[in-house]
Amino acid sequence: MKNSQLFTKYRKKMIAEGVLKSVLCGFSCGFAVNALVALISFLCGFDAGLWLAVGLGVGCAVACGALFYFLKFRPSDREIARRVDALGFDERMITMLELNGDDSYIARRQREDAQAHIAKASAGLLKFRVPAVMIAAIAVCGACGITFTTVEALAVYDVISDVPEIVNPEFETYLEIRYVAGEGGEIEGEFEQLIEFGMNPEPVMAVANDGYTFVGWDDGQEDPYRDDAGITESNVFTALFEAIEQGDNAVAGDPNEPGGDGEGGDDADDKPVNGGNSDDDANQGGGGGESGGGENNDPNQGGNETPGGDGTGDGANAGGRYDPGNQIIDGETYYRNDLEAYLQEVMELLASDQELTPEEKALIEKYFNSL
Amino acid sequence: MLEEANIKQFSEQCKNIFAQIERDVIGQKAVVEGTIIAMIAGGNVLLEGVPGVGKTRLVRTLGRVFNLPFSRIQFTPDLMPADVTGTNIIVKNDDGNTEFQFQPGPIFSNIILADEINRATPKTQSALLEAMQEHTVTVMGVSRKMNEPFFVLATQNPVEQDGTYPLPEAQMDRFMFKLVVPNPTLDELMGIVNLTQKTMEEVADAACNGEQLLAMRKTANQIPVAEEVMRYAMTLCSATHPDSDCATQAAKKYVRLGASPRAGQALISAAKVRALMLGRFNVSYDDLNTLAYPVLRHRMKLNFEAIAERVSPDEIISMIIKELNGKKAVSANPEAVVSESLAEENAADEPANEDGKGKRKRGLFGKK
Repeated sequence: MKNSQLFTKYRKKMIAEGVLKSVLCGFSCGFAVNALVALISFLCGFDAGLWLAVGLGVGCAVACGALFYFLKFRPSDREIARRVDALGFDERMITMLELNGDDSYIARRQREDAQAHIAKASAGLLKFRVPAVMIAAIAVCGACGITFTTVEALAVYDVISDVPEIVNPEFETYLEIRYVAGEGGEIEGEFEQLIEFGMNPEPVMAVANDGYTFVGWDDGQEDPYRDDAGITESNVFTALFEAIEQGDNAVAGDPNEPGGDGEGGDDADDKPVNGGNSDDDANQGGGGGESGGGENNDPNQGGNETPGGDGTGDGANAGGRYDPGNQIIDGETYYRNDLEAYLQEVMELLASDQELTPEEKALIEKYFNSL
Repeated sequence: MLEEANIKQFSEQCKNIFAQIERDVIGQKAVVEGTIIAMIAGGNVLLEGVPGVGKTRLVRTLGRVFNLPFSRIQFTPDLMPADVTGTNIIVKNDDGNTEFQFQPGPIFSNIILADEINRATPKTQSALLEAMQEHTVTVMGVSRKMNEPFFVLATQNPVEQDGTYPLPEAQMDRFMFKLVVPNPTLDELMGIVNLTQKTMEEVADAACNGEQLLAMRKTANQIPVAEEVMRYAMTLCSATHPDSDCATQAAKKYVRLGASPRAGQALISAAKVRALMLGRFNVSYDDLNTLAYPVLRHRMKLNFEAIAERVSPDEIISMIIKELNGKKAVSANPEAVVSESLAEENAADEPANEDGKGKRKRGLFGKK
């Protein structure tokens, strides 16, 4: 009888045991990979990681199981003989294997002795032997794999929060930024923006309507042009405008020109009758109020009583409120003239610029016009 | 060429030998079996035991059972090498001239009982070295071959150390087995006293002769040893060396000098005999584990730590076997006997049954 036939009943059991061990090892590897991928996906908020984890886990389990079987757990004749000997055959089987092909008397006697012993034994004696470490490995890896996959699945379907949200509760994937114009103005640009966390909103400009002036944003920023950065939460920014009072823009009259009662500017709160708009009439001097002009409603005529008045002092006071549009730099030059010169220069530059888009040019032009 | 007749003869002669020895020696089965295994394997035996436990009687009985010439040398401090090996003496020849003639010493016999061998000086002890290993004796430059089979069965008393000369390692290494002869049990003691009250005569008959003993040795030598089993045997010997690649923790901790290559040879030779005595045609791990005690216990030189902690060589061997076998059950009790193993082997000819009770741990000198 050949050795292979002799071991048939044991071989089946050993193959089954090898398959069982390979399956356990394969599943351990699969679960380990599955757990790893699911964990990484959960930590990174990678939604596709769920199916990637499941796919890789299954693939790894199949591949590793096959590798384990063919490279490690597939029983050889020697391995079977060793296991059978451990049942109490006193190394008869392993010796018989080594003497295979030997036709000497002692080899034959040994073979007969071994065959006689193995014939009396039952295959039931050979118990499945699975190392405890294998069972522990499958338990640990399985628990980790199932747990992490479940968690990732819950995160993907928004049942629980992703790790970034747990770690940083203020984190929002998308931020809603709104720019609201108060009474007397409007917002140039995208006044409602939805941006990703970490990104910056598009710049906007607060533009006052006629008769109003921009006074600032509700968060304290004074520049009507805002280009926000580093925003971490949704927010609403309101641009504040204020109506321009008539007296406000009255420029003190030209001290060289007669007209107006210099004192007229003293009463800043008085509603001017003929007070000019600072844009239009500031250079007219006088800017007289009721008292300044007296009966004389023509600001060009100035007052009869006192020529000019103290244009500097009173004029400044007559403006009532600081406004860069109505200030005198050196007492002789009007800021507006400079501003207009600059404006013109800017417009020329804008017109000649090739890099800016028409929208950007329009935005910048509006900004300067609002000044 | 080995034949069926050789196997049968071996088996029958073993039975006869044991039967005849039992007529004169009560108890001491492990020692008897160990001695017979060593004799069949061609090794020398050192019997260690307190006085009166039957060491000398056993050796004398063996001489009778094997029907071999037997010499007894009582070792004393004043014993000289020439008293053992013999010497050249001046004699007159037939022509009336004087000449040197070799007068053989008591060593020229088949079975030598070296009684209380540790009482002789190292010089005299060493007179046995050549005879024990090469089976030759050289006197005055002439080497003479000993009669075969040749065995030295030495005894020593482990208790009385005054005026003794411990055997050197080289001498120890030439003994295949060192067997510890225990005190008889109560039943054995009663049997001994009953027997000797009737007569002190030795009644054992010859069971085989020298040639048959040599044939038995030849038969046993044919027993195959699987490579794995052989490797395990050599690992067992190497594991006693604290500085070898396969040194065990026990050896590193307690052993200063491990077993020599002779230990490996002795282990395999004796294991083959034991296997055949048990009716098996191959050597098993169990044979090696069981025989490791008598083979290795006198070949290991223990270090100070072992002596200070009173760790015996047998305990160290047990540790080594356990370490080499991991959690595998091994025979580690040097008190069992081959006859018990034989009985088990016959009773449970099936190596194992469904409930696994067939798995045995057995051994020679040894255990179960």
